[in-house]
Amino acid sequence: MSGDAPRVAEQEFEALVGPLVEPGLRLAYSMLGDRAEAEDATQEAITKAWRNLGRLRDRDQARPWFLAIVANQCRNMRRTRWFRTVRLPAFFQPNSAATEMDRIDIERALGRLSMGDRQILFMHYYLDLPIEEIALSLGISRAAAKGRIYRACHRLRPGLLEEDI
Amino acid sequence: MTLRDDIRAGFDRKQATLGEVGDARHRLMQDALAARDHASHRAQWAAGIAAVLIAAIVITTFALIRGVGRPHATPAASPTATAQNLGVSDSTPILVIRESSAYQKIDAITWDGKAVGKLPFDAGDSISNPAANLFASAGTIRDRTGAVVASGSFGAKFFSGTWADDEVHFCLMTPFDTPGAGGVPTTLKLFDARAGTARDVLQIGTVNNQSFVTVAACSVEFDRAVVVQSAGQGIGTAQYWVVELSTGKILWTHNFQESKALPVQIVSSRDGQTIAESQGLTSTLFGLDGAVIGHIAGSVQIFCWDGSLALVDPGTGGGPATIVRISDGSTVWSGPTGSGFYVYSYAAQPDGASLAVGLHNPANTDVKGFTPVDLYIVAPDGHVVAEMKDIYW
Repeated sequence: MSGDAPRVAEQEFEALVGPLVEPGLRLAYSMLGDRAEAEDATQEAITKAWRNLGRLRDRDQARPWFLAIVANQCRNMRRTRWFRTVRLPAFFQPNSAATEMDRIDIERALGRLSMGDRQILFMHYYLDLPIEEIALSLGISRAAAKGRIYRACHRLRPGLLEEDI
Repeated sequence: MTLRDDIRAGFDRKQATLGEVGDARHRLMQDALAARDHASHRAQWAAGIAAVLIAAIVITTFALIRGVGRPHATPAASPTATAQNLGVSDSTPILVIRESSAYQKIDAITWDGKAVGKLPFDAGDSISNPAANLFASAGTIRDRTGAVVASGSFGAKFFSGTWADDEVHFCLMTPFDTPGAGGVPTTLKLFDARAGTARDVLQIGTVNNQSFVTVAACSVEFDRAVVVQSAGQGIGTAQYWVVELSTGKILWTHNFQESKALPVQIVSSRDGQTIAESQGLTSTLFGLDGAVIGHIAGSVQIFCWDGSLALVDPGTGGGPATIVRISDGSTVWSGPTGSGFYVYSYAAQPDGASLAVGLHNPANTDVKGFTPVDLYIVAPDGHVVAEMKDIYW
């Protein structure tokens, strides 16, 4: 191996993963609700991606692969640092004026979802990932991914019909 | 606005609070690659450190098993048995029901009503966590294999704690068994059942011969607990507090000590975000900050996991038990009508929105003091996923 090989490998890695850092950070933020935690998770995910790059067989699947690592890292952080991550961000607090029984605002509803539900809704509705990529990222079938999106939406708005989604 | 627009707008507002991320790509990438080298060196150290830690854990475990630090939970040796009779993963939530012919035998069903085997141990006096993969009694906590995960003093006769929504922690008011005429101040403790550790959250409430303190909700996920001080003789509520678990800060409280009205029963959503004060045949709902968000006819028994639905008991002669949608007050499910039907037991599906409802049915016959029920597992749209007649649950 030449002396430039590591640098070339780094450049290739950065070219592959670099564009995914921001969506990864945003995904982590949507799951954890804290910027410092989200940056920690994303940075750790980059390190893990570097170590496991050999397992990525198809470079076209880098995005779901990397986002899956980010999501797993978020879940790990949630397990190990619960007391730092459980606090509700101000964003998820309900509007104090919203005291009517028939009004559950979307922020509060999103905040009440499980981390997994927020992850899949964020991927689908915010990152606009195709169902195939979401399925790859979650390691499930396309039909299962659609089902989970539907169920997450249903938990968000119990009265929804499938055609609304 | 479509649902997509709504959700996207919600995430947009959240992402706006993230601030500038333009520098993140370069900075995080550089930091990660720099950490990579440290990490590889750390890996070599990790094996050695792990060996030392394992030895320390073994020594500590033996020390704790000897009874140090009660009532702190004591971690047991790693379980070796497997729940061979149970056909689902440990993380799959189950409901446990008892056989009518053998009360101590426990059958497991998943939340879609499928029978998935039996628990290989007697859990007759245990209280399970929401997923039913840990079972607590007054002195031990067992996993699904029956292996003791922790031991300690968690209640006078039965488990007095309240399981948290992360399935691992539980809240417990201590002391729970030292009543006296003058009363003893109680402390809210948070236990980690797997790690065998506990910490004080705050001193709050008083236990005495006439009154005790319980925890209506213990939410690690939302950093909240709801602590309830009973009124005299344990009937109704004198006061309750919504507290922040991580800091012990009291977020809000309601005090009924001066009230001459009917006894008040407190039911909290699992995350402490919605609380029902049921008085007589009316429930008033309070939201995150303690403000009234609505009223429901009947007595709220439990909320579903995400707080969107409530199981409501109408009271004697008031009609069937119902499941009501909080957002609009509509009824999504009604139980059977007729005298003698009433709500006996209930549970909320972890990370879902289904409710399990055990209804007393006058056609069933008590056996040796145990009351059988008809169990209904009701999906959030009101669809009955499963119905089981004349079981113990």
